Amino acid sequence: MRRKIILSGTLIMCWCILAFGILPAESAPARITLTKEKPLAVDRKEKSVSVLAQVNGKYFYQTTRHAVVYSGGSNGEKSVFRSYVTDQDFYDALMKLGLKAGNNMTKENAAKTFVEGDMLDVTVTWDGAAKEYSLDEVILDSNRKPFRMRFGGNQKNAQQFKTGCLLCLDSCPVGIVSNANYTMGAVEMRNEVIFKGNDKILPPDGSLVVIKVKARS
Amino acid sequence: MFFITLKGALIGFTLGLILAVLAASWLWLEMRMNVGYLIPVATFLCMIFSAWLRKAFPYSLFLMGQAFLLFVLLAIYGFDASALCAVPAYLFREGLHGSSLPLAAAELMVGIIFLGGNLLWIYNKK
Repeated sequence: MRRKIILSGTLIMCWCILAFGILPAESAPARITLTKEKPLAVDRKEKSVSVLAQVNGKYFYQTTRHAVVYSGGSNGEKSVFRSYVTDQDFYDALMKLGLKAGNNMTKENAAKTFVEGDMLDVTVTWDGAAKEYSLDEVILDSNRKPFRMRFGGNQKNAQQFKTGCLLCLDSCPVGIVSNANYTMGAVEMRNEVIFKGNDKILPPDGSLVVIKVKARS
Repeated sequence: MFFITLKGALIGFTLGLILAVLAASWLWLEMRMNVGYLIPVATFLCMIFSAWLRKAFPYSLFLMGQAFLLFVLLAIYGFDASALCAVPAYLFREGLHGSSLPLAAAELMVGIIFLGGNLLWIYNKK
């Protein structure tokens, strides 16, 4: 009898351990703190800049070379995320963190030059998200190359062209931050890659998200 | 006269949507202009043209337009039901310059326009 009790007790314990082991770890759903009135946050300790933006559901179906663009810029409707922060404020925030801009891109060399500058990690989260998703998870690269985002700088060009570009998906002479995996024209001219928003992970069109750009340590 | 111009507007809307879908598939152009503007432009031009003709466009033209739109969508986006609904909706939204309009609402509006158009021709044969 005692043996049976010990055996059943051990079995119940094993099942409990197994069940809790298989279940995903409970993580509190994310809650975004930025608002349309205060859409930018700088964390000097963490060396990060967070930006409030809105999902543009169009780019779940349509390819683009823009990840994040200020909604008031001329490219405001051409990106996966419409930002409530201007490219100028975003640039200033990254400079405040002491990051080094590449400033090596010009309109003339763009097709053959990869963007330089400090490496950055980009994550995206929203109300109710299970975690902070990496940019690789929310924007799909048809070649499956992990993004290599760099602080390109390009402040003068950004002011001149007024496109509003914060994050571009190929090396860009205008975008503040861009992807060093491809040179300009990879998406539009040479069809080297297709970028689309991942509708299997991202919240629906119009949802607010927080995009965090953090210096790679 | 009202129904003549309304039918002209519906033909123009369908034509504009076909042109916008085709233009949106040319990425270089799509990245440089708001291809959605083709919809109100085509709608307005066809409305003016039908008013000038003083003659309603036939239902067969509207049906052909819808069939061609579906063909173009299927050729570009494949048999993806969500894309077939979302693509005309976001182009329509862009044409209205209304980024604050939810995509679901734009889908509903496009659906109502096509449903209403078909009913108009069925019940108004003049």
